[in-house]
Amino acid sequence: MSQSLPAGRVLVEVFHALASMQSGELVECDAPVPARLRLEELAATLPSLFGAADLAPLERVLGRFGSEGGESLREVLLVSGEHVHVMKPLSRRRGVALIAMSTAKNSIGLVLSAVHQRAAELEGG
Amino acid sequence: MEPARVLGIPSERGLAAWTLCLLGAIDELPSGATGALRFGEGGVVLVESRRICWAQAKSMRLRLTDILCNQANPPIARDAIEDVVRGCRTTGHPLGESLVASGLVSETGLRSALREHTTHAVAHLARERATADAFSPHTQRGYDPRYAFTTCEILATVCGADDPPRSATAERELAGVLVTESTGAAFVRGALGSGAMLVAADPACDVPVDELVAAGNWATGLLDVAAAFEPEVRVVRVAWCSRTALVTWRKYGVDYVALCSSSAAAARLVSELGKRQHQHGTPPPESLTRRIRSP
Repeated sequence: MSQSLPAGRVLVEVFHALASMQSGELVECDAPVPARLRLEELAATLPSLFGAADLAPLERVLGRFGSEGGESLREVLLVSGEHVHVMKPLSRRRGVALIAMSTAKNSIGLVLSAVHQRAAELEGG
Repeated sequence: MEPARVLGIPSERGLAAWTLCLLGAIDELPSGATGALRFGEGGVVLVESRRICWAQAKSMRLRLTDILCNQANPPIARDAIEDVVRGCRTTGHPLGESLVASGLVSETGLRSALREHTTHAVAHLARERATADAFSPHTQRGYDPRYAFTTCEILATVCGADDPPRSATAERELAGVLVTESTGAAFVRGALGSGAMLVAADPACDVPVDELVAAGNWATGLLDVAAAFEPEVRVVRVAWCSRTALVTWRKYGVDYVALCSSSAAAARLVSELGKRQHQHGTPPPESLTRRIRSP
């Protein structure tokens, strides 16, 4: 699924998909082919990041900086020379993450806003 | 190939793990504990609130005076330093303050010399696999916090000793990038141990060193996965809750980790690192150019 968000005069195109954090496969995606291929590759990293990885070290160390017990990994943002990628586990769909990509690397805030809005829609919030 | 032995710090496989174990004993002391952690006949580490103020190993020959003398070019006259030491013994004034007041060394130079001395001592104790067997509490505090070191700083100096220019570059990178409400460290994969090796740490990073190393290993793995997916990945931000986040980036083979206590700090870091990706022509660290030039 793609989304064009007007923000003043700026248009930010963000492609979304839902993917399994265990298998790394897309669950839902209606993005056009070039974006879909990239989202498939992004989804393939999910098991390494969320499925198999022991998050305890991160939880322990960030607990010293104010995070409370019972919290978990909320979102991964990956910025490269050409793209912005976001991976966001959905709290109401266990084992499923919303993943997104955009070429708007200079508008990270707008990309995140679009992803958060989409996540809220999916979570029914 | 074994890494080069630099600065007299014993460089050998397993040293990082032994040092980590030794420093863990300091991190396990009660918060605010001040006193002497004794390692049998091997030596002693003076601690205040989990910061290392002084360390001495019996097997160590290097003295602080030697380091101070050789720090400047031309070297500082040994007599001049020993005069200050004698004066402090008579007056009871703190040695560090007196050395800086004498103009023989700068505050930065003194801190650097003390860190080198402490690192040598800890490395010697670690090589001997010394274990802490007693803690003698001191009733008075008073170590100058400017000249006390976190366990993270000391492990970073031990592990970074095989490539001091790389560590210096990493320290500069951290100092240049970290913002308010963040602290951080730098890691490499090296020959001194398995996993990510801590080679630089923000002096304000006072988390237990084993937790920092574990987080560094996690972040290094994350960067590996990210780089496999996107070779041009510049920065990764991991939001843990509404406030805390880890930001990590890779530059010239060194992996950096910033721990943020606010989402604003993480956003500033991502923004800053995003801007820097457009900067071209940044020279690689001296150690890297040295390797490139080497046959």
